Amino acid sequence: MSTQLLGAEKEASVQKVNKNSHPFIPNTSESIRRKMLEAIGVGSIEELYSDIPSEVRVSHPLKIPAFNSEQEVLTHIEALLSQNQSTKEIPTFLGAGIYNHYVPAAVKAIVSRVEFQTAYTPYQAEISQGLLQALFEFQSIIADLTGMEVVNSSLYDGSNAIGEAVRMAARSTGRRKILIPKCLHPDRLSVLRNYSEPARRPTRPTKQRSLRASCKHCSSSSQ
Amino acid sequence: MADLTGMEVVNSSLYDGSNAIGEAVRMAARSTGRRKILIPKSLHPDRLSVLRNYSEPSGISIERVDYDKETGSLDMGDLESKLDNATAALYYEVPSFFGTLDPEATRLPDKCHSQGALAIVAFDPISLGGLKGPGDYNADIAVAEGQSISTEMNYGGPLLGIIGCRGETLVRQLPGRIIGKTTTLDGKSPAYSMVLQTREQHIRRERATSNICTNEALLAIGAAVYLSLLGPHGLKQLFETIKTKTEYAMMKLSQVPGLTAPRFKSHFYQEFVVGFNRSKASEVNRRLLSEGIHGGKVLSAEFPDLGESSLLCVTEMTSQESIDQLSEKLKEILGGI
Repeated sequence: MSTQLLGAEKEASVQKVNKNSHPFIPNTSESIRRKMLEAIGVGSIEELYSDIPSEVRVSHPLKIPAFNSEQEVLTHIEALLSQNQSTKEIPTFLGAGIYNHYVPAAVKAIVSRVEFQTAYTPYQAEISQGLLQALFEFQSIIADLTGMEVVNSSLYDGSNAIGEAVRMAARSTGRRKILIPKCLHPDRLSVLRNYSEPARRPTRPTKQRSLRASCKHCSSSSQ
Repeated sequence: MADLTGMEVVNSSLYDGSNAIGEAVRMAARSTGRRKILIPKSLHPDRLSVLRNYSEPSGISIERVDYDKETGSLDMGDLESKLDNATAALYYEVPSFFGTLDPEATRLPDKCHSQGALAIVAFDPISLGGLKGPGDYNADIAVAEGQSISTEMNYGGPLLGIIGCRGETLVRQLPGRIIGKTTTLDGKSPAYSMVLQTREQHIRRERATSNICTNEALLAIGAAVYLSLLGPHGLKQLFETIKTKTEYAMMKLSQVPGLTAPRFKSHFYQEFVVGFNRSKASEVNRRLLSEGIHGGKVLSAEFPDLGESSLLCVTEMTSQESIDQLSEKLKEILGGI
């Protein structure tokens, strides 16, 4: 091609840059890595994992295809994702736990605000007045809807709420038997078991006994 | 951006590439006191339209320099006859609208200077991963459309206007805002400020260099992030990928009967013109679309000299498979019409 237009100086500046190091990610440069290891008094990165028993470590390379660029990774993942058939393309009659409802655009717009989106737990609660108010409103509305006196500011999901409820009941009554419908969603039952059965093992003060999620049926109710 | 282009000063952005051309042309007219601007006849019709909006009301006349029918580059004979001591500036593009890399491109600024005219060069930001920056061959003003390094196509906007220049007199003519780095009053900490803002909201209206000094701050920041992430190595790699894919596409399409690809004898980057020997370009595009392929921009109406033709574009996003697919479909379509 027209050599007059080719940038010779650029060629030189490119040569100086190591292909595998990234100018804005310090730990991609071998010399910076070495400095970091020296600073913490460790000989190699491998040494950092020495306290993990070798039998639980993966020794073979991960089964991930090798990619040369972010663009290639994205193309691959998009090809995988394109095998999905979304509910925007085809009708669905699937529910059983997660439901296809219309959520007004304002909900997404408001929860996308950084003040809300990045707030996990308000560690400095008093300076997060807006978040606190929003959660207070949530509690009040749900209390109003349910007729409960108190509603907390949320848990992980519905199944985990069942688990917590069952343990609350056990703690407050001092009894260990919980009745549940045989028609409980198997996934919820599975989570409930995770919450209730371990309480059988006396980990702390010895008297803790099994919290059996027991009804006559439930032990046989899972598939 | 100054580093990449070889310019001394680059402002904090303008609306888009076309508006940057308009501002560059007015800068040239103000600083030379001349009213004639030369532009290539191959200029994108949309850009020409914006340029007219910018130049005609202020009495700047636009003269078009023809392109060489063989190479698509500026016709040097025509340029010589038009470039005189009444010319404020020559505006040209590397690569040109036809995707050609003109071997004369690096010599044109000196040719302009010998007539007291300025050289305004429009560049493609990614191409500077491999090509010299306009400042490296003495261009006075560099302009570009920066969409490709800051945002996706988004149905055509928003866009990012890039403009930079060399020399104290031109800097004073630069529209928009320039952010400078200085120190705090105690001289201890770095601080940034707007060091030049020659806009009508800030200075007397008649002294403003432009009434459209809006910058595209968000996309300008996006471009800074993009270029920082790629670094010189990444940008060079990207340039080479695009160049190679362009050459591959031209090679594949040159094997399609009924098609002249590329239409010009030159070196190409990212875009090239194909001529349809027996078919209408718009009809070919319609057929391609029905086969699930977006064809190129039809040039036939705006560049009737070229006959039935289209401008095709290939980037790093164009897979080899899709180039092969285009070539196969064109064989079918051109064989069948």
